[in-house]
Amino acid sequence: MSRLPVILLLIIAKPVFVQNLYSQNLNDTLHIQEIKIHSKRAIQDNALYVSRIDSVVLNDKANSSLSELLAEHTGIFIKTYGRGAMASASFRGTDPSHTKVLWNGIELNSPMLGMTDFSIIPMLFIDKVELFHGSSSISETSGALGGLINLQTTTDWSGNFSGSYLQGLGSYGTHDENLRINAGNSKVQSQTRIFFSHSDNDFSYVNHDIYDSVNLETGKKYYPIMKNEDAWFTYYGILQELKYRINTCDIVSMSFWGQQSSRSIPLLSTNESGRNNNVNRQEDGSLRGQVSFRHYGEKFTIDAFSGFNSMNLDYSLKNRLDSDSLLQIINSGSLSRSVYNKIKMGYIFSPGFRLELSAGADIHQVNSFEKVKQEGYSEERLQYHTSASVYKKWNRRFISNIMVGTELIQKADISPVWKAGSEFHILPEDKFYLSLSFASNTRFPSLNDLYYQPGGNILLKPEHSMDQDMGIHFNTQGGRLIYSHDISVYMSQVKNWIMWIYGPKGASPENIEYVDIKGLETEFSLKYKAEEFSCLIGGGYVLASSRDMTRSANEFDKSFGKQLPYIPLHSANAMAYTQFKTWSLSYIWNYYSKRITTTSGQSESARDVLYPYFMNSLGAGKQFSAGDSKLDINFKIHNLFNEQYRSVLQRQMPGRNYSLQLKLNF
Amino acid sequence: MDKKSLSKHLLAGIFLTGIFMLQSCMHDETWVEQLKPNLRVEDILAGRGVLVLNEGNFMYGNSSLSYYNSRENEVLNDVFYRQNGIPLGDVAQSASLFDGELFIVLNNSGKIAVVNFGKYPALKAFEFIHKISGLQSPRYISFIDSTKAYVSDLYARGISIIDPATYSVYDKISLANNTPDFYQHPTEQIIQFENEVFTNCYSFDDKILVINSLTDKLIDSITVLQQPNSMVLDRFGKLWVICDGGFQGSAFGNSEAGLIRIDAGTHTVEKIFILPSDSWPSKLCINGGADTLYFINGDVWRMPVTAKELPDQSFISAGSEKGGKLFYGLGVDPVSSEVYVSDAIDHTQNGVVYRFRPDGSSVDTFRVGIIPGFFFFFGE
Repeated sequence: MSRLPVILLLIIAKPVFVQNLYSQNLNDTLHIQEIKIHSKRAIQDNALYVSRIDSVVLNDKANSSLSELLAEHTGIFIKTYGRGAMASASFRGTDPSHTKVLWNGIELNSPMLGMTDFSIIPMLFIDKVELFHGSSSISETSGALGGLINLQTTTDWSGNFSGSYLQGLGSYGTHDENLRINAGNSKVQSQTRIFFSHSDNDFSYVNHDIYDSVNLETGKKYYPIMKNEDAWFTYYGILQELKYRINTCDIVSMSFWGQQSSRSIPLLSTNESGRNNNVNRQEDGSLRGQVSFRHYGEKFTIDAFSGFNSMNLDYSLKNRLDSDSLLQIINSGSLSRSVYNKIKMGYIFSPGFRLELSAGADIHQVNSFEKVKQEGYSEERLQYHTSASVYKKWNRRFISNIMVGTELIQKADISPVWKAGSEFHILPEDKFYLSLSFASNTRFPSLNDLYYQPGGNILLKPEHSMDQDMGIHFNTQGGRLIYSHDISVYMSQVKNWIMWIYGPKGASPENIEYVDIKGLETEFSLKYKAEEFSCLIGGGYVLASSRDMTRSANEFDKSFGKQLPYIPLHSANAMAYTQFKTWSLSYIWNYYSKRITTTSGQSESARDVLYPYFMNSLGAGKQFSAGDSKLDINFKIHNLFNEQYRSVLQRQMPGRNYSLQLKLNF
Repeated sequence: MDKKSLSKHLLAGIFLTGIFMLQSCMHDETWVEQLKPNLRVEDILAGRGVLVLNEGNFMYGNSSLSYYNSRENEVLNDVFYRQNGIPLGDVAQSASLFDGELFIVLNNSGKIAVVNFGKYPALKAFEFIHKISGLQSPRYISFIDSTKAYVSDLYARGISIIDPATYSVYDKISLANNTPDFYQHPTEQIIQFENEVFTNCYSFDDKILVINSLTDKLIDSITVLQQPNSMVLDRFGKLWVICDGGFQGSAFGNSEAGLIRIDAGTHTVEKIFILPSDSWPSKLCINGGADTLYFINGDVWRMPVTAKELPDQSFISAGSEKGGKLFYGLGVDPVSSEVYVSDAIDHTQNGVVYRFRPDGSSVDTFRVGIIPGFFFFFGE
């Protein structure tokens, strides 16, 4: 582990401390902000189940990836192929392609794969995380059958010049450098964020999946102690944002995100082909940008947006044979380019009556080619969407809304999308209310589903879901305490669910009859703030039953009614952040129940099952101040009890490990 | 509730939550089943045991061995894992018995697991002894003599030569194509005829390569239809090869699927039986008498080696196309000529093996592991 960056930081930190720079408004890592409660939600939030991750948590995870944040602090199941390796999400027991991710309006899901790799989304580029559970996502986008993760950056219009430099150092040669600079005034604001992250990721472990040697007389066998070789990863990127406030009602903004990720993918723990064989590399590059105009009038609002997202994904598998050079076995490259255009208008006829109209047109283009087998495709798709929503507050207790929309795709039928919901307020000011909603959603197949060579199926139909949600919501404030609690029960029937199924010629996607999804989500948050002491305690539990209800003509097919593979039935998380004067302490815990890996749900052999696991981490921090500058030092212990666990079969995860985070706000 | 009481309840809640959170999860060892089957070689031979290699899912590392006692109609799944406490590996491709040791080729684990089958009396059957590692993507092992075995490989562009006594690779026969538009040659099955060894090159290829087993040199190449996936040798010295023809849209192109007869002595293609369009044949097998061919093409088909034409009726039907059986593996008992055919169902759950008498009547059906693809028959 290189210590040079730390030394450099400490050298440059001292002169910065003694200077009286302009005040800034960046949050310090673990220090809990002034508590505010928004007692009145906007009418358009009616019957939506949206959970927002607390800023305290976002600050704590400032040098993490989004996958770590979601795994530790939400009920979303993150399936990760290892530390730094690809991570996909299952929201409410659905497939990774059913979770949509928007960043400042740009869709981060790959149009080629349909899903998002959460491991390469840096937290530095995110100021706000909202989870739209299930059909609540329809208010923002269609096709997110499991839900929507809405990521945003925010702007502090009061700041002139400010910034932060965060340096993380961790076990296994891990180091992160994050720089953030804000400059501007009340009219114009510029934000620049740059990050670099690298890890050798070469943790040691006892490989219980192979034997090193055997004593042939006694039969005693020995496990090897191994290093997680060839598992390094390097990410770097830049985000530049520019916002102009034309007047108090109108804002124009533009942003640009460029990023590159390089990863070496380690072998399965049973693979003994050696370091010269099966050398896996993956390169992900992305260029994203958007321009938007927002008008916030007293009655009329408009949000116009255009964005692009260009992602390339190159994967190679190489062997070193007789010569010194590596020989390509797989050399695949893909380039996905998407352009998004959307306009959304709202008009308030009266304080309890709002109308919203939106329309959009997107174009997706994918070029995918594997050079060794010379297979691939090049396709594009146009997608149009429109919607109209009406929100009506009938009286002080009862609010309802209805939304109807259409999704039109090139070479396919029009698919309707709709949602109707109501809230009944038992206590005023959102203290205690019930919500109920019904919805129908549509998701189109990804371009790989349709055109991948070999196996793509151009006859695939879109997936359709019918969703029902019921919620109980409780928010209260008393003295120094704020408590909120949400409970949601949901049901969803997804017809024409797309699943890759093997046939005589290999795998090909098919529409399976339907998948029945039922579940319960509950989460709570308790905040307490005194003069020198504050704390945030929160947690959640998710029951996600997701069952294939397709009857097979094959009498030996045992998949009917079974939980889908790799989706835990139970998951839970809890956190506690406390601060006393300049000291802070945090504890994070999360749990996943066992996950089966087969469609039949068989678990007679341990090799078919991923064990349940409890993961604990502990952090402690101290803040130092000098004038307007602050230095936060945080030390964390991850996997506190040194658990041996897996997220995917035969992919090693690290044991107890440590990180040190230094953050200088100026 | 007053503030003091609320605080007490809160503290109690936090404490209880803390106790729950602090509990540790289980470690690998506690999950390893210790129900060792402790099978004895004599019993396996007496029971005319059949070993089923279940490939498992690619990149899941969940391949397994199922042991079937054909006299008692009893199956014991996961025998390797149960006996040894470790997973077998990723994609169990084939197995071969040599000198009291069973060599199990694990394609995507880059190794061959060697398990006891009588060589070490103190150890049980299928107990792990050794491994041959450092291979790229091994497919089949064939023992040329007591000091030499050939290992075919999908990606090695050659045949590895193994010393079975030391479990080491000591040489390699290079089979790299000098005009490599595609990654050639990937070698598959290995069949010895006199002092020559034949190997079929399946993926994106159309060759049968011939190697002199005395000199370990490539001596000839026979062009067949595209993608020869399996082959057998009949009692008349004829090499039979089945080709699936590749797939439409492949840059390598695609041909008709067919069954080909080659004279092993002269390397001459004598006869090509073209299969109907939309065929996808695989798993060519032969009976113990080496006079009857079996293969999968949707259904299971059977044909005497002396036949002039392809059969017009299948031997065992897979059922209706939608939701019917998905035949994947095929084996013919060399002694009884009973036919074992596996159904991989959806490839992500335990498969099924159907056992038939030579007249096509059913004997037994039993559950095995995920994607059963290869059968090995023990005993006389």
